Amino acid sequence: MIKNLKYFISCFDAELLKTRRTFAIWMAVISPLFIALMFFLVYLFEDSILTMLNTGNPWATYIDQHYKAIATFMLPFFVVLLTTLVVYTDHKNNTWKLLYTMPVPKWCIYYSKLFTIAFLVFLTHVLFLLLILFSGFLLGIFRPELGFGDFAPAYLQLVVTTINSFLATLGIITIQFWISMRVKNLFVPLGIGLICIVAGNILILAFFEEIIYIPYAHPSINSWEIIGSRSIHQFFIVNEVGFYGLIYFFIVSFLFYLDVRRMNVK
Amino acid sequence: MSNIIQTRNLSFSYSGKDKILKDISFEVPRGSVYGFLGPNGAGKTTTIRVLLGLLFAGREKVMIFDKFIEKHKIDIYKKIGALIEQPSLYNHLSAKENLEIVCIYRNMNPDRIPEVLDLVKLPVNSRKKVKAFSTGMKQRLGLAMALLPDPELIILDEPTNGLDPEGIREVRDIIIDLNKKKNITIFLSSHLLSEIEKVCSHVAIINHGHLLFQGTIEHLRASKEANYRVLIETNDIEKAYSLLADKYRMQKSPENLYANLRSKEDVSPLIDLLRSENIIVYQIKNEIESLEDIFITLTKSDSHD
Repeated sequence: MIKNLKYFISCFDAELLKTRRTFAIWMAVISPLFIALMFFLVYLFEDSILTMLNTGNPWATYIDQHYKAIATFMLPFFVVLLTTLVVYTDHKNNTWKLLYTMPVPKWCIYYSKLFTIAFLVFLTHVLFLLLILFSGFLLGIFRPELGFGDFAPAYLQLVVTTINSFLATLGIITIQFWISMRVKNLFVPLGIGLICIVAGNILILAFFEEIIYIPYAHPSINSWEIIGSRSIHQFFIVNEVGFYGLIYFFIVSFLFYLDVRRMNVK
Repeated sequence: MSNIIQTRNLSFSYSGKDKILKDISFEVPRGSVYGFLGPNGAGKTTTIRVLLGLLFAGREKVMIFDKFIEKHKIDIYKKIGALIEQPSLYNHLSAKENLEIVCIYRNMNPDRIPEVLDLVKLPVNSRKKVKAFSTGMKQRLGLAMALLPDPELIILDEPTNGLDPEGIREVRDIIIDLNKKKNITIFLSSHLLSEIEKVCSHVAIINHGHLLFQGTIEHLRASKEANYRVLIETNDIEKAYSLLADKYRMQKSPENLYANLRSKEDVSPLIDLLRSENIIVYQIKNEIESLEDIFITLTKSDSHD
């Protein structure tokens, strides 16, 4: 057990080193910066914001709007792109034959990569959380009439929303990871991902509850908090979507591993 | 334990189609520099991939360090350095970072990185990305990666491919050095006999997935001494050729005619036969075959079946 953990930590460490100076890393940093900056500017200069916020504590609306803005398309597409890029590094450089002749078990190569992608998406979420807080405080200083300085930030809401938004991406990561491992190409996984995201968002409109099994719809379901025609169940912090995301990430990923394991290394 | 690698009737095909490897059995002795020789497309790289367990050719077919590859991959990989085809390098990272990755996977201290960089004559403190490296530098970095774990066995697939003459000599010197000083067993493939001849103690020849020969270089030369090859100078090459072709293995060029005889006892009957048809014989001369000739004869005669 400890030996396996050591293998895993080594592989994870190596995977992180490989992402150094890649486009994927830049994207993980720039995307949340871009969105936070856009919101900040709108809140700073747009007059109608004041009438919208006239009910008191502005933090809840501010946080909610950030996550709603990214849920339908930006977040799932970001995840698809990131997953494809991380796996493609090894396709492009022809390094599978190096990885698979390293003295580590095969599952370690697979899972360390999968966890690296999830870890990067998680870091992006943490960065997003910090940026929301920071820009809110700045608004408190530069546009005090909005009231950001008069109320404490809704910390619990911010943390819960961030966690659920992250968990809602795990299903997409799992499926896209498998496709990217199988297809030695940049555009096929991207294309499939894009189609699935659009399909997922359209299927939500059909109001059937089975939509919860389709990971590409998870971020949207999570943000609207509606499954079919009922509202989403909440288990303590994690909601239903997060629960299915975890099932995909830890259980379905293993089925995909069984497939990837028997592939010849070319 | 005298053999580092051992294969038993190795056969391989992608998804049941034509076999790429057919019944290949060979042994690589400890401490040898083993040359795996064959023309392009003969099955060299496939063999190496099977040896390393990247392709699966069946159970109990490949033994490395007296262990079956499919059962003891991790133990075996710990003691092997490999360079297969184009080196596997992360182009967006520096040479040092590429080696660091290998160190992490191998759970090694990165102290050895300057040493191996020095060995392959790459600058130790360069921040240059591998992307900007020349083919030769990439090949040497690939070699450095293979050397990093201080392995007992190094497997190199066409290590001099794409290198200039200077680079080829450097790689050759490194290989000889590693074998002599550290007693590392080296298995290397090449399509150039001249390369193999210069560094290898043993050689195996493969063509169309068949193993045609294996043994020491001297053994290869000796095995062909049974073949007594003569140059025949006559007034009528065409006529002599058609006359002798039924009885002997013949080769001809516009100026020269060669016969492959079993021994020198065959020379007199050959002259008698030519004389009986009134062909004038000016000279019959024994030709010593070079290794290159042996290689070409072996791979050519195999291609007939």
